[in-house]
Amino acid sequence: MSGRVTDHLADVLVVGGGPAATWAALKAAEAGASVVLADKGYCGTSGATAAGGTGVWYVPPEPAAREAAMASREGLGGYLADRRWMARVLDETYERINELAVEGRYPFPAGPDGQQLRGGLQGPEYMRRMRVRIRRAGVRVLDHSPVTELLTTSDGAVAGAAGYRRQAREHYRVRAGAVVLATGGCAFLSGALGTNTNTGDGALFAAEAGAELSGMEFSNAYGIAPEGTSVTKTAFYSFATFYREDGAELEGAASQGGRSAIARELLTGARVYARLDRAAPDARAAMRRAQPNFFLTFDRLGIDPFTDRFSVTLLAEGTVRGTGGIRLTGDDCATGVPGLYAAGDAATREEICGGFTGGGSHNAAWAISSGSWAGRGAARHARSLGSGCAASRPVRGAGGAGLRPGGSAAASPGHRAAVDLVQKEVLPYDKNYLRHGGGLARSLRALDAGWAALRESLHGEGAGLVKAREAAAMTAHARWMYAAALARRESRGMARRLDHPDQDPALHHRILTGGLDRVWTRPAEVAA
Amino acid sequence: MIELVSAQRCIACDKCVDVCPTDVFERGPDGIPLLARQEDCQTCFLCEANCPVDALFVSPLTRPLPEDPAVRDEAGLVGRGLLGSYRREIGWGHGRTPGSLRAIGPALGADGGKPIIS
Repeated sequence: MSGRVTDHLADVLVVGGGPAATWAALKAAEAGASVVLADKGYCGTSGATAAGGTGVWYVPPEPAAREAAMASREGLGGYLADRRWMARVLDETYERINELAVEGRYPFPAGPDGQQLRGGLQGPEYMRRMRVRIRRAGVRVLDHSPVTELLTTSDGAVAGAAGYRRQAREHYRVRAGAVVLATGGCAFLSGALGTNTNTGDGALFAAEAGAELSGMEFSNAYGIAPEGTSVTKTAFYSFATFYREDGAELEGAASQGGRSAIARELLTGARVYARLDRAAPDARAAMRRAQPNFFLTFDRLGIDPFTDRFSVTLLAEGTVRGTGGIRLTGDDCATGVPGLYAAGDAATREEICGGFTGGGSHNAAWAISSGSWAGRGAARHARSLGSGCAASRPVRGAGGAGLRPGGSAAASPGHRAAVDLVQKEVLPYDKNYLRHGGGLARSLRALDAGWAALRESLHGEGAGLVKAREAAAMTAHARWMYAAALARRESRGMARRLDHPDQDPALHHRILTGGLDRVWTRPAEVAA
Repeated sequence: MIELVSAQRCIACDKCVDVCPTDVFERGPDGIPLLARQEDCQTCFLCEANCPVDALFVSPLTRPLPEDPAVRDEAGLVGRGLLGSYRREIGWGHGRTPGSLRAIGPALGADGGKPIIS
């Protein structure tokens, strides 16, 4: 590392800048902690939420409604969720959304009875307000400051992070009593809306510090978007009919439960067309009011999506819309590594989703709840260390691949080649979507070789270091995904296998994974 | 992808330089932002939403448009009502009503009638 390094000190460092990160920062600050939030991009526009809109799993505390909410997706998720966590997420989300309405003054729409409808959020407005809220709470925000590695003490506790401020062009360190990783999932730079900041960095940092992952096989979501564009708003395609190039209806194609028919047709090299011809006039108007960004694409291309056929594509959403992530070991979103907490899409969402999640809704509720718990937990941990601890502990960088090559950096083909390699194994529909044991094993071998090569030589300076670490994080992510997918020799939740199409009662467990140079998996029981 | 920074409209406030989550812009010598890293643009439209003078235009296509000045024709974009259209829709800007106040989505499937569904 060369050049100037600026040092910061905090009780709690939050890494990330989306919903989970801002809720964590807010709750840590309210608990009395001094807080630094370091975001790769800009807190307020970074991540999958800010660019879109989201439903929220916001259910009034009425027993029948709560019971129905918990039961609704248990089967879809392969019975891997945990009702105790569902109940506490429903409680926490209800409180926090009400707080956002009252203290945060989020402008929710009103229903016919004049009561606010608090079950949905527009991304730009939500995240703009969360940024204001954390700054009012005294959080120091470091924008354009990607973290490149965690700092650990000699006994393995996480004690801060180091990174690079890409606009100020300086390295920085934050020494902290505790760290919350809220860096989002990983969509492999697929271009799915708002996800190019989500390269799985947090999972790599966590694994380097000794944490484990869970549910990484649930990582094969693909969102529908008009061909050549970014706006993945799959839910609105429930109004679509899908067509072949010759104009005939594409049999079996649907936004829910029929995306594989679209994938198979696209794999033949043919185009697939959609038209939202099932939307009645009132639904059309409501869609525009609810999600204006959905229509930007169409308005600008001169397409009327309700009457014109337009070609579509499927964009990989990896663990952004999958449920795998860093394994949690406590109700406060601890990770098992002292001082390290995880929240939002960076953490596994199996506790409330099992092996399936759609967009928004549960994911938004999880970000709010896990963020709030992680922030409070981190503040508590920092306080338990006593004042001055963060400043006085000797620390060292825990980062490896892309940062401290094992061999000569001169031989490095560069981060772009590493990204190309991982994208070649995770983006194609016939590799990650329509999974088959033989193909998974072949891809894993290629990814293992890619990891070994980048571990030996990949390196970068300044902004190049950030890109090198992203490439390493995506490669590690893909290896954990496919190792877990190979271990799940059945079809459960979204983790479907063409060679094992049925659910196997003997495999009703979660799959943990981890490791860097050598990736491992092992089963873990689901709480009854 | 971001395709247009209108030098005529730009007030050199640096807002887009600050808010772009993928750090696409660089401050130019005359204060007008440059598209320094256009290839990193993720087509999220958030620079446009945050531009106080509607000086930016993001094409919905995730690859750069051909070097054809017609596709960056400012007058044409204004004529089609596209310059600043996202900011208008979400109700950002002085005197506007937040779009979220009207954000009641269509009924979808069994869940039905949620305000917004992604």
